[in-house]
Amino acid sequence: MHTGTGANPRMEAGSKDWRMVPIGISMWAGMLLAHGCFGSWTTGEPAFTAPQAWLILVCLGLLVLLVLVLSRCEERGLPGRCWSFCSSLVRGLRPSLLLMLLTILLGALASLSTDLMQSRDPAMVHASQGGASIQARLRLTSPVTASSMRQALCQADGSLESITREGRQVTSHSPVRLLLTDQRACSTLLAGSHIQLSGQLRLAPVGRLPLWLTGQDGHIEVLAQAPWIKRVVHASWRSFFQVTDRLSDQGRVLVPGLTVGLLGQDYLGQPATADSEGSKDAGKPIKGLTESAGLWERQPVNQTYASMLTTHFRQAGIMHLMAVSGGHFALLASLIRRLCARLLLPRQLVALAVTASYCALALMVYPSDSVLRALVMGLIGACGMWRGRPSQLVSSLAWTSMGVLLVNPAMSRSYGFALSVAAVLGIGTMARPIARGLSAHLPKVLAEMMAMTLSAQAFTLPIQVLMQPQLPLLSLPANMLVAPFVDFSTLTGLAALLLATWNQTLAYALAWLSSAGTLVMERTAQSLGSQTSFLIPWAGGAGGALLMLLLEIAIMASFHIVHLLWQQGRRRAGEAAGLGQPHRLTMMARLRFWWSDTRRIFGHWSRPGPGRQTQEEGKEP
Amino acid sequence: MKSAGKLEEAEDQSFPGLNRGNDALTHKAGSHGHGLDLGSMVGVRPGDGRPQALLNARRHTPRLALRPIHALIAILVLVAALCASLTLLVQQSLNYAALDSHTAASASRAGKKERAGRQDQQTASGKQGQADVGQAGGQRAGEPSKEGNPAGQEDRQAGEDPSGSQSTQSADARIDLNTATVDQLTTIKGVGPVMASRIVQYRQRIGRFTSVDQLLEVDGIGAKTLDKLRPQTRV
Repeated sequence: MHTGTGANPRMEAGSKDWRMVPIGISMWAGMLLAHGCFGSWTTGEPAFTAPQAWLILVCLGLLVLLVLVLSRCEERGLPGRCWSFCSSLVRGLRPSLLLMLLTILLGALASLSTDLMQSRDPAMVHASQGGASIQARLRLTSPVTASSMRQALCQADGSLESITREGRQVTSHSPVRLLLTDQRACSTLLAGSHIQLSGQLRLAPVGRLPLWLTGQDGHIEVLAQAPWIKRVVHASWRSFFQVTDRLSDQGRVLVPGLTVGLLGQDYLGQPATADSEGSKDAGKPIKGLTESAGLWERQPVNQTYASMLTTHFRQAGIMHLMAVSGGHFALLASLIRRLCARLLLPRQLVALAVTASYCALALMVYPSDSVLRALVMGLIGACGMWRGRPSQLVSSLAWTSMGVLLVNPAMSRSYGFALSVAAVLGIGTMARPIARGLSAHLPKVLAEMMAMTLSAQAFTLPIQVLMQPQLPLLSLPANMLVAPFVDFSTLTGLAALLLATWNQTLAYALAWLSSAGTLVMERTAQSLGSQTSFLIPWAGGAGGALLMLLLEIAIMASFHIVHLLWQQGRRRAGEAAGLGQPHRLTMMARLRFWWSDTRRIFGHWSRPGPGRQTQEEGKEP
Repeated sequence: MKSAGKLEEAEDQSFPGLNRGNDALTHKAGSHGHGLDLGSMVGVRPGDGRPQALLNARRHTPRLALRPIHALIAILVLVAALCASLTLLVQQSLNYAALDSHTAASASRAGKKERAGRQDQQTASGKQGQADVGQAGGQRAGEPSKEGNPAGQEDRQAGEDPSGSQSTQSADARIDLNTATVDQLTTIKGVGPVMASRIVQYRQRIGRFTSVDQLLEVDGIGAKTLDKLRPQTRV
């Protein structure tokens, strides 16, 4: 049975189901286009700058070209006529191209609907008009952390339920970032709490959330406490941070970051007790972390050290280690599967265990867009495991991104979500071929590590350039240096988190082991991240991303051309193309032979005069 | 001889390339002097040694093309997800519209009553003024009418909004501050007619109560009184 593309269906690998990838990318592009056009319609400014428009058009064009090229006929040579080949290719790909067009429209519709609703939201209207103080009811959707703004002590993300202005209460559903100066509120509010407070609402100058609500000093009323599960998580976090506070500075910062996705300096903890100095100012509004140093139970982390460490991690290209990513979930799933395999459990129980562990991990860590992506993707994989289907990384990633984007179109503008999806897509599509090619010259472990880093970097670099216009050249060696320690530190950190509530001594031992791994990361970041000469400035914005994309395509195309020429040369030399794996010496073996030959040659030259040479000749048989 | 021939046939069936390979070996070795294609001499099934079979064994092309039925299923799934997402948005917008119309209606009713109350007061004060001109004890005569007017206003309010009395008593038996009349408010322990009228006047001024705590703004109600009223009232 043929697909009609001209490709031999027997050459298609069922484990490489990439059919929904172009569809997912089309939907994402449609959402971005619609958002840009809506912004242009409301503000009157042009929807896109020239580089942005070119970037989107080039991406869509490359996508179509990729679909056509990768579905080429795999049989030897082309069929009779090129025109019949092209026409059969287009006929076969008509459903895919049609679906791509439809998903662009679906994405645009979802994005436009959400943007329209958000623009009509009373909170948005009030903020855009620069209105007076309001009384707001909201539900906190993230834990309270130290604020990055000088005007506030702490911050949390929330979802508005209603606002009261001029005596009138109106419903609102807008997401909002809450900025507070009340120390007691900062220490007692949990994710999931329903609160009511007075404050100033304004449009957000930065960030993904559209509104900022700055709480005014005074009464913050808790309408409903957080659910019991959130209280349990908060208690375990408190115990965990009590354990990590006994570590060195790098351990205090990095171990919580690697384990729960919250850096040590961002956690506030409990207020200082009555007999401590900070309690005198407990009731006063405090602005800024520097003034609040004595207000908390825990000793604050040195802010200068913490900010320098963060900068070094970013410049070294290993900033992703400071947050929870899909690697945590994959590691946990791997452990669960091995344990269940030892116990010879049926796959349904394994799927249930994996699902439960994913949900538990998602509850225990700081909620972020990459955690959401990993959770949804993991649940899809668990469903496949329940049904006995083999895992399809790329296909599940495509369905995950489409589902999340349709439910929440604002995610299309989230850098965290985009980076997470891009990295997994790169690993799923390119890691194995690169590892196969490198393993001919390098040890297998090294080849796999390098392949994973290269493939993830290839897909995330254009997005990183959008955020920060510079290229970390030392990113590859930095990632390879820290890769052996990431899993170990993650596992020990998670174990410390689980045990901190019951046995702080054992938890401290595990946290110390984790900090031993993070010490390597810190030293790597400091030594490689401080080398600013290896940071190449790059064009920023959409123009820089487009340039990076074209450069990567050119590099990949050149590699592919060289590979094709080499294969052609092999065919001409009489080898059967594509049959079996050629047996050739690896680079290390070649180096070994070169060294031994060199020693033999120079050893021959360093031999003494004819007398000794006669003796040598006499010795020879 | 027969067994040898049968053996050859069997070998030919199981290893079709074998004897041909031998012939090929002889032929090629004789004519070209090049190496043999070993693939033709290995395998179990008849077609195993052929290059095409080995090519098919190495399936490495990713699946990119969708069949029409798969595309249709994907379209249906995506459209269902979009409909679910849009349904939530439509529900939100309906909630906005309903709440906005309810608050607008309440505000307009409160505004009308306030204007009607002012008109009545003006009329009553005009009558009182005429009575004062005629009598020396004009102030004593005004007081009952002044006191009577708020009661009259509330009677009118009760008459205009009969559904309010039905809605004040909810299933949890607490008085709704936004719809209760003076008479209903006086049934609250700790609230007399004067305080009830003050509560109603304050409500007319602000439009509606959004929180029970707003009772603190009413003259005569302090923190202790609020604590007594809180279990008996709701918003």
